[in-house]
Amino acid sequence: MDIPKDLLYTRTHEWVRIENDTATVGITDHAQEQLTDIVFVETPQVGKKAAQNKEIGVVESCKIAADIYSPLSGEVIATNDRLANEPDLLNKDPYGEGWIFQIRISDQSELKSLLDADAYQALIAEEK
Amino acid sequence: MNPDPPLRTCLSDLHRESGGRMVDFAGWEMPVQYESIQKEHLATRSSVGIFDVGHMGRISISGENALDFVNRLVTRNIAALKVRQVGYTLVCNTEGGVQDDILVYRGEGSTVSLVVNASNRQKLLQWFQECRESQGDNIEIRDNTPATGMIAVQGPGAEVVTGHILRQDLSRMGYYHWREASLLGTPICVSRTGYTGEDGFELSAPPEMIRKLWLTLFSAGAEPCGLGARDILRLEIGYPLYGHELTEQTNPWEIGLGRVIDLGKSDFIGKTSLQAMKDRGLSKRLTGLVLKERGIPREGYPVIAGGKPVGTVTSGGYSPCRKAGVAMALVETGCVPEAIEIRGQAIPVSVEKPPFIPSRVKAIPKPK
Repeated sequence: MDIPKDLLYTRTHEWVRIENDTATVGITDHAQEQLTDIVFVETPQVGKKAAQNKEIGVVESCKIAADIYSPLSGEVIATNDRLANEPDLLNKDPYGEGWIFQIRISDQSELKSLLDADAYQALIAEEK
Repeated sequence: MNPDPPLRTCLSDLHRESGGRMVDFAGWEMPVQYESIQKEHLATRSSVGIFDVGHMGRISISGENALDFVNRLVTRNIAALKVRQVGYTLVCNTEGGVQDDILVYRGEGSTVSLVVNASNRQKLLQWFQECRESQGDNIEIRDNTPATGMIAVQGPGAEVVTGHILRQDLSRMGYYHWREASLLGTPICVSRTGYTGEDGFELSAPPEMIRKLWLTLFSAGAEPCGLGARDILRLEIGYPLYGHELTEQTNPWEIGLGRVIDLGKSDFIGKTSLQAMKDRGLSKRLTGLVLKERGIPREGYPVIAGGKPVGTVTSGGYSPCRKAGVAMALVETGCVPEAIEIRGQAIPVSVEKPPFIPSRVKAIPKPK
């Protein structure tokens, strides 16, 4: 189970990479492993206003549809177009080429509510 | 919630060892998948997949009048089946709703064996008992489910690998026929049946033998497949699934199952209602839909024509063979579906009569 130390995490299994006021978001290795065989990703529209912990997209595996929740509030500034034809990038490279969207962070204070790698590791251990 | 402890098939520990993800299915703890549903699907379409179907109910009915007794319970004339033939049919209630869809295995003499859905086993056993008491027949009804196991071997390589392991030439065995094989002195019921649209067999036998067969097939390269793959395989072929296309409220004519309803045979349960339903004409029809754009239809999604909802998806998913979302839906007659509504968005569809991919089951041999 890969949980990179330089990322932040949500209780709903998204990861966040913070670079200044930009946050890149995807789903964690644990999430993709649970879903397996991701066959569809619905990404948000660029320009959409994201609210922290609110649904912003959908990931579907063979079996189920799972909501993606925005880890932070802000405006969507980019989405990963490759996922339209290669949704399995989420399985193959969840922290790299399988990124889902980027937002411009509107409220830096929300970062406090995200988990670090150790806390996320503990969360998964608890769920088991 | 199911308060009872889960039922387990004789292969349960082997599924766990192979990394099977176990879920509750009709009170049974079953593998929904192992490593990957798509891998399991592909193995079944291209070589051989093996499925634990031990949760399916196995019921034998014997006695002098067993055949007539069962014939009164089902919609098709099973007296027309030859010995060692298998028939797909429905068990209806008096209103013509579907209590279950089942396989009938005709045995020697008057004996009949049934394979029924796991979710309906207890209901049917009770129903059969009630029917027996009211008729006062000298009938024995036996539930063989706990004392046996059952596996399905499905795929283009199924005939060779199954024949090799059973030391039987299966090449001339007809689709929807069964025979008794024997291995190490243990009898095995072998039928050329399945739920995938591929050629294949279903084997039932005592638990120890089923475990041996499973392990031997696994060593021979057959891919263990879970309920997830099984669902996609049957959806691609357009087979109905009880609880989805079929319920106690279902009008079976609307599902296109008229071919297994024989109104010409003497009285059977539901006959009067089924005749009336047919005379009334259909208000809905089961319809196959293929998405023209990206998206995955799921059960319950609305079907749209002329901007209005005209039906509901009964089963849907992503077809790896078609590389598209496919669905079966109950749609008002006279409407041509234009879209499926997915999370508020109308995704355009084309109407296609299932199967969504060509079925490759063994052809039913012509009588000589």
